[in-house]
Amino acid sequence: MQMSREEIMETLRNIVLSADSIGKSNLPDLREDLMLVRDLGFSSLDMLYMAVMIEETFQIRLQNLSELNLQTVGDVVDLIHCHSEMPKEQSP
Amino acid sequence: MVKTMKTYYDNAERFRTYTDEQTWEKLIDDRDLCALWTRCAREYASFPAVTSQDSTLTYAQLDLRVSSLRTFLSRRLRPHDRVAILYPNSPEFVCALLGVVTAGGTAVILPPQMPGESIFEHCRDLQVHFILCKEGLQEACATVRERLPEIPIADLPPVDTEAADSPVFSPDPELPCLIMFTGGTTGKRKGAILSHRAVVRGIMNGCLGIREVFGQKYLLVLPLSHVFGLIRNLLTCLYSGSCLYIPDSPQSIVHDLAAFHPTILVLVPALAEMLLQLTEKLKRPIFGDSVKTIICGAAPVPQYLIQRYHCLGIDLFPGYGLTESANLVSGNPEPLIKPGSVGIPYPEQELKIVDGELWLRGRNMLTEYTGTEETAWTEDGWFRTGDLATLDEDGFLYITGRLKEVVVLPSGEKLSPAQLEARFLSLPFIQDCEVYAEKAETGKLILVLEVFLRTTELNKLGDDPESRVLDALWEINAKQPLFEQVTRIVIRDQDFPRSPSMKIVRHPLCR
Repeated sequence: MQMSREEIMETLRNIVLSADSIGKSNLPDLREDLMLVRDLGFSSLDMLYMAVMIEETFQIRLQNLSELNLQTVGDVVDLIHCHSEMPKEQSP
Repeated sequence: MVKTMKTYYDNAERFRTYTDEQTWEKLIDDRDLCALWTRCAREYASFPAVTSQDSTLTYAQLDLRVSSLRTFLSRRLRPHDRVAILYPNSPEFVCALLGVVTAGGTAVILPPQMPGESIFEHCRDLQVHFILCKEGLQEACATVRERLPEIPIADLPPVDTEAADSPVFSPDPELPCLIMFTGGTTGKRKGAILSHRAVVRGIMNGCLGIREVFGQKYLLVLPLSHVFGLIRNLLTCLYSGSCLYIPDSPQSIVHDLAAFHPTILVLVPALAEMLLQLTEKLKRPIFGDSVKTIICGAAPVPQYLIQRYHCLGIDLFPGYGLTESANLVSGNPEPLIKPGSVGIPYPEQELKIVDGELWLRGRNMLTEYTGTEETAWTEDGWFRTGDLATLDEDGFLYITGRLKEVVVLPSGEKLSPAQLEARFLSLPFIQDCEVYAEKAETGKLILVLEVFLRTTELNKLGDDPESRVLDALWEINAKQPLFEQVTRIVIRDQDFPRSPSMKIVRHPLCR
């Protein structure tokens, strides 16, 4: 069953919280328009960590992150949302 | 004025004592990289060489692809022509590298994320004759196409087994094999020209001192455009008849560890740290039972990592090397007895310490730089590394800092920040730190310590962990000589800014 964007955001927030190197001060207001690098201070290592945790938590396989040009939290939610969609013929 | 000088030479017999005789006998000193690949492709023909999600190539199958590319290139190039290689980590990169070298070319390794303007500048300055480029990256070559239209740009041609008949080139071993770019923390990247002799020495060094070397399974994590990834991870793997798994994407590493069961990982400390955090966050042993060895370098290795991995049944061995030294200069042999050191110098590595600075000479050293008029050599051929080092009475090397980072205090005393940082890094909850000098409002030069905490360890500190952290840091500080004591401590809430090779981008030197 497809997750809502709110559910995805909550799980993503926990993933970002668990990344040691992310500044904690922005997280109570994790919004989709926040820029990963500029607002959350993501390094390349943080992106890799987040991608691994997304794959493991949501049980999805992502294509190479460097090819996706993820800029904002919303881009990440879109990506997860897209991968978590059921094929149309299987939807209830 | 030279204050200290120690000269150290061949350690071949010493490394032999750490290596079983069967392994030692397999260490063939091939004349050049072409001869090395020809021999390995023959000896290990049916063994798996390179594996990806889609397929596995045996040494023989890989050699067929290499031969096909070699034939293609031989019809278009002259010996010693420079061929730029622009591929992400992939079997195609491996084929391109071996195809260019065995065709007699010099492989110019371009990082796949290099901006188009830089690609153009390097191709122009290095007089590149051909660019092998993954189709998806060819947009980055737009400036080359426009301003250097004489340079052909092509992806690997389809494998043509019937036309794979071009003989393997036999180069002068002193002539260039690779051109690799050094890290870009300080200005424009320089190209280091490495000869065939140097590259073969660098490859062999990776086989010394570790018990299980031949027939291993490597998982590629580092970029092949970095010397640690290219020589230690890829070429030593092929030299030792081992198999290299190349992931489609770096974030599938947890899945790949479980699927491929590698036995050796080659990592920089920041990646080793991240994988450890993943193990703890996911609450399961992501390394499984297969990984026994981690080769770690390119930055200082905290002893915390060595200890934590040991608890997981994995031996982590710190080493030291440079792009300019065809990777490894020194490594810790098994068993690890001096975790704070970067090991003992490899055979044919000459080194001396002059005024605290490490100088190197030897077969593995670069021939020259490209793209700069800078010279780091003395008249008698010693390469000045810019690293501060000491040797202990057993010949183990310790890197204590960077010459350019030495702070000269108003009193005239000199401080190596890295040496002081190592003392604070002994605390398990300090993931990384930096000591630097800054001018206080009074105009006086003071020392500042910035730390980034390892949150997985903070839970063990009970209530108000940050106060406990500060208490521990001030306690260590108080034990230092007065001129080395910091005046201010800052706890960062984000990691330090890092270079592409994940080293801390340090505060500029304050005088």
